[in-house]
Amino acid sequence: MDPSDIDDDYVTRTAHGADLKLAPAHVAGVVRYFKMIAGMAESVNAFPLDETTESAAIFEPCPAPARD
Amino acid sequence: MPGAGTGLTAVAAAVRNGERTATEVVHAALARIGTLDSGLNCFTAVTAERALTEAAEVDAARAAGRDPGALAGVPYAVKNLFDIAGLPTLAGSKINAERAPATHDAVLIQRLKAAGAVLVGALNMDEYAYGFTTENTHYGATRNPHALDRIAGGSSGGSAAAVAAGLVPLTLGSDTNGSIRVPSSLCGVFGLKPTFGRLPRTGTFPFVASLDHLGPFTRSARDLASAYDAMQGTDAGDPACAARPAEPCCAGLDRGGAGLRVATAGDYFESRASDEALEAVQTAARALGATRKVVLPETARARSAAYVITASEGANLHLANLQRRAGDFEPLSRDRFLAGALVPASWYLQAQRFRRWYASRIAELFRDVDVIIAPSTPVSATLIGSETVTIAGETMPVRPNLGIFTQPISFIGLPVAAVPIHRAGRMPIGVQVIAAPWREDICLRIAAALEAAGVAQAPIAAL
Repeated sequence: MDPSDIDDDYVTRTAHGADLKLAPAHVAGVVRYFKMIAGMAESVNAFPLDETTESAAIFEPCPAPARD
Repeated sequence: MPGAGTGLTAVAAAVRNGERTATEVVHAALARIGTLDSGLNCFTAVTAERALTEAAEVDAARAAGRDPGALAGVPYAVKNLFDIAGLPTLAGSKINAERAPATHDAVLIQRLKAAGAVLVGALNMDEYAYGFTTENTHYGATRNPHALDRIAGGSSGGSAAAVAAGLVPLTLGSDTNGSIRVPSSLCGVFGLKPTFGRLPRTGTFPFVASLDHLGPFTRSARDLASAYDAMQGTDAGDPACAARPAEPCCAGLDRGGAGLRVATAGDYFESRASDEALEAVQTAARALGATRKVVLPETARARSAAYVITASEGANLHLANLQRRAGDFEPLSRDRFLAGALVPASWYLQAQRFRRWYASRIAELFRDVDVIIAPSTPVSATLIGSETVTIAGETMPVRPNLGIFTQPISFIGLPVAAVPIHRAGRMPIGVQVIAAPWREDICLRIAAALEAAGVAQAPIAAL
């Protein structure tokens, strides 16, 4: 995503998808920080990872409770 | 010498051998807090009645011939995201003040109590730990004891400042992206961010479950090791806590740096550091005889990935309140939380996959080195309210950039001792002593070696 594509309209509509109604006074700040995050994500997304690189967060099944 | 006999090890020894009672020690701590804290704003709650009850229990145990505990009578306080029975767990927020009081102490508080330490209160922090400065709009800024117009760092600012001011010899904090190491550096105290999963987080209010660590602050390496040893051990209440036995470090401290391969971190960790941060690293390197430099590859990208994970997980935790009452959040972090709620899943997932790549790549470095020394903060403490700082000719926002050196390290859960490098007449600044996973013993040995060499000190601030 190009951070220059991020504007008040984009942020407001995307927030709607998260059930967030942004107060008008907050929109500029949210745009600013979302652009920062987008810039960071662009750097991460540009790094090639092969399909064997799994997520660092791995699920561990919960152990069964002890028998009575 | 100011503060002589007031460190953790000295206090515990004095109480254990009967030179002082825990009750006397705690009365003295409460008096010092009462006198000085209004000018520092470290504490959000002082649990005086509980403290005196606990102190009396320690004294009674000793009088009855029972072991009063390795940390007998040591007064300590905790960042206010730790559950303290009977108090709402604020986590620096206005919203959490409405919560019912905690019914149980956090596990680490339980362990310190079992060791004879005495809880005296709860400490100020950035709201929900989302900050590096402890400029809290709801509860006020915590001031740096070495210069009251400067920040204490964050988000565990109250924890670091309370130790730096000699209010208590031990505090606990948390570190997700640098929140123990940044305030340690800016307040000139020792801090420990153990390996991710080492100390259980049971009974603490989270920030980013993938990255949250807990750890102590003290004024010496031995005190740090003693506190850490008393808290070790697994706990099933924290799904991220490793099922490892305690691995005590105190006994090995005197080995210092013997036989350890030490290097400094180059490239990213040099290009973004001020002269004073670089000087601190070189001072530590000279004291350790370290001449090698290592490059941690893709570190800027690691910091970016940590930023994306933090934004996404942090916002998800608070989504319900962001939907209903965003105006009640701290203005300095509210818009960051809101922005984090908009992060696409693909960005977050890619960041987590990069994390696995980066962790394995950095692990390779530890084939050839045992310890990496890096700056903790790019600069020493800035003025409260500063929006920007100039480093190496570039002006940048202060608040997000105080953690540029800490974030890539906590991202992969490496253990770090935050060590204050002594600079007479100047504001404190510290270094990170970084080791391979589960090698807190090495971090602490190096911290002790730097202290023994006279380059690391944490004198009580002259207030």
